[in-house]
Amino acid sequence: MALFTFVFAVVSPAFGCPLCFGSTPYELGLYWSVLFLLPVPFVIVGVLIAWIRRQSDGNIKEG
Amino acid sequence: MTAAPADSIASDRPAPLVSKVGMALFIGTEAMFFAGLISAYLVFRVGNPNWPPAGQPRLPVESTAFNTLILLLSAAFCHRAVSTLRAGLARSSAYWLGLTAVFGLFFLVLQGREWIRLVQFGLTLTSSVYGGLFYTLIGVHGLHVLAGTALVLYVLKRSVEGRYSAAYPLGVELARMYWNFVVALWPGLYFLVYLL
Amino acid sequence: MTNDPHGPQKFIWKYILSTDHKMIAKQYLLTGLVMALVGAFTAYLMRWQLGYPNTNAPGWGLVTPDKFNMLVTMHGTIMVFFVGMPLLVAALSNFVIPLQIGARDMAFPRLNMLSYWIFVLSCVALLASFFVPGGAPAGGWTGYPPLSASEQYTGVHWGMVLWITALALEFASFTMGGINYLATFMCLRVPGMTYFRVPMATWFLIGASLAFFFSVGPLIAGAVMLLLDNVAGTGFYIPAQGGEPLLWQHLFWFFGHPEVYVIFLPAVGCVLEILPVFSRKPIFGYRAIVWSMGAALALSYIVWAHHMFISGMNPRLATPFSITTILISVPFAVIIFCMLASLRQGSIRLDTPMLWGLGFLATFLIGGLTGIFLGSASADIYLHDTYFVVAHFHYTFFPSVFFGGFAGIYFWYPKLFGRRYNETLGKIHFWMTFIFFNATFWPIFRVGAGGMLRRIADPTQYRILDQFKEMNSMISVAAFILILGQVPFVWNFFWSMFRGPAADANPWRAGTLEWLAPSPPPHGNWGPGLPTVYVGPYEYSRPDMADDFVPQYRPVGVLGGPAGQA
Repeated sequence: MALFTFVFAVVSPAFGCPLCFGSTPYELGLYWSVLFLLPVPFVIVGVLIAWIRRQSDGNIKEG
Repeated sequence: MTAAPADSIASDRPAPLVSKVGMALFIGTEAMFFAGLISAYLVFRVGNPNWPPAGQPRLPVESTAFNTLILLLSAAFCHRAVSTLRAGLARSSAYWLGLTAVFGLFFLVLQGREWIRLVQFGLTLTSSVYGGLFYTLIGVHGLHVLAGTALVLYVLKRSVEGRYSAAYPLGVELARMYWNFVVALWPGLYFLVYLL
Repeated sequence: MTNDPHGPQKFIWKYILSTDHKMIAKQYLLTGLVMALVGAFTAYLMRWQLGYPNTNAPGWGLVTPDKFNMLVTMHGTIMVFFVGMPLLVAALSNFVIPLQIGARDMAFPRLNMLSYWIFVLSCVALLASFFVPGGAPAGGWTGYPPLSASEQYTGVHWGMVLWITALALEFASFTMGGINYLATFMCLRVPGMTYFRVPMATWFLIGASLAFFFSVGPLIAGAVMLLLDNVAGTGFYIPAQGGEPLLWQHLFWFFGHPEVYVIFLPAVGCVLEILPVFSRKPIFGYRAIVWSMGAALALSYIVWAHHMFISGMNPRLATPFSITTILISVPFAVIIFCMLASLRQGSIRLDTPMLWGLGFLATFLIGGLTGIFLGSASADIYLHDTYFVVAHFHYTFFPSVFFGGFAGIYFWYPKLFGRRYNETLGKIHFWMTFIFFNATFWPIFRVGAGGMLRRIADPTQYRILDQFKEMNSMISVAAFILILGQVPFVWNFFWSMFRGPAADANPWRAGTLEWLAPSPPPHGNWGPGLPTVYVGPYEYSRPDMADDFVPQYRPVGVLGGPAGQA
């Protein structure tokens, strides 16, 4: 994750690729859209695991 | 993924846990579905410096804020329905379930009224991507509210028939899980679509 | 919940509207195989046109360019979504997961039945698109807009609508399936079946479900918008109306990349299940494999943007996505090495399932290694959209769906139908498939590196491709023999189902739980009492035991202790 933040924050301006997009607002939209979707599955799976663990713990205490 | 305590899960687990796990997983996919829609919304929202586009009407922020309150209240009623049922008060649980459904329907009616006015102002599915996104995102949520209300009404019918008790509150609990999800989505969508 | 009323069942309840997980698995299996025939027929037509351009294909007629586009689209869609997924995910998960973890049925049997029938509906919707005005969808199996969003580019309207509907129905069906598999796995394991005693096939099928489960939502969101573009006149993907075609690529590949693992993981699971049984050795590095799979799953959710590298994406995203793409090969390398190490110094028996398993290893490695060429950007700019890519993904998909799938089918055949298949026919089937699969797709690498573009209907239109004329004909002949090579399987499958010698409960002398149940297992699987699990799944050739394997349901006693994984 530290690597990730480094790569996201620092490397960007130094890109000399032949495929340089990202200057118009449209591509910025896609950029944020991708960034938004990146962590979502992990958050949802995390919440699910936490929820299921809590449920099954409660179940053991009750039963 | 492998975090649950070893050896603790046996096959004679009572059915409630399985059902709740199933419902939770279903809600997980639903959440991903909305994440996809929001991601699509962001493409256009961030991509367009002037939003809403020129010539398109503004959204009714205040009346929808009131509507948000309605939906949140219905979630509170739904919680009451479960807690009263767990306390053994099946009749008052049915009463709270009814209130939940009524408030859910009220939310839908208010939304519908706002939509009619927006269409009159010239915001339609095809008028712009803005309109298309609005009706898709909010409409899909509306459909979920409708489904949730139908679920609550179904549970209410079974509750009146006396199928739930403090010992077996499963159906009401499942309905509450789904209703919570539908309600919890709304403030986020409201913030994203109406306020941002 | 576990047991429906027993006794004699009417035909419709036993075979059509069954809630028994084994019957539903067989239904999925047959549906997938039928769809595979349709997919093979589309492949035959395309290969005919490429091998013998502009001549009449026997049994069909002339393959015109617009028909060729439809065939390309339908071949991809059918083979990935309507063959790979029902065979590998649905059929195997339904059959294997409850049996291997000791459940009596799925957690939600009726939902399971519903999921199958929705899948049938989606197959019907997809096949119906051949017969509606305008014909089948012609925008490629990835359905990229604007080709897919507007009728004016391909001339197909209803076919496209049906395509989207079919996919939506199928994903609804597999979502129900996924809920079932995951809930069953989490809640219905027998006592003693801890997470690290779960057999490999179940682990990898669960992994496939996890990869599918949390990635499908955004695709459905994208499909809703694509459908609205097609029927309601919105412009989400049409630039002229302010839309963004890249949005589809974003949402499609968010699902599409994990989907690769949805197909791949069950095949790996089958092979991992087969290797220890046929080399009589514990699997090498059980925990390493499970954790690798977990890591691969996590990474599979954060690599999808590499499909959009050259479609115009912010370069700030390119670097992290390159890194994750390179990283994801690490866990798979670990798994492959564990497979090879499991073979080392085993007493290997080359029965049919083992042949398919080894065939999977050999062919998939080629697919994986050619991926390196495509992964490096400089080579990719040259190779992109050539037949090199076609050969590469056929070398990954075909081994997964067919080598892995057939490995599983042959391995569990005795358990599925209670009869043995014919070993000779099985081996003929394997060698026909193995030889002619390579004879088909190996030259395609050469053709692609020579510059032949994918999805072109008529190679004679390009002078640079004249040199490949004979090679293309040769590839086509090999492909036809590959398709004909499946005849022994079809014969073997149906003949042995009714006439094969009866199989006993444990014909392979394997240790996992499904071999405790009778072949075929009755409704409810286990009789009056559930089994209890005492040891790990692959206790072969233990030095402290006289027998060469310890089944999971046998207590080892104080000597060995309740050993976990060796």
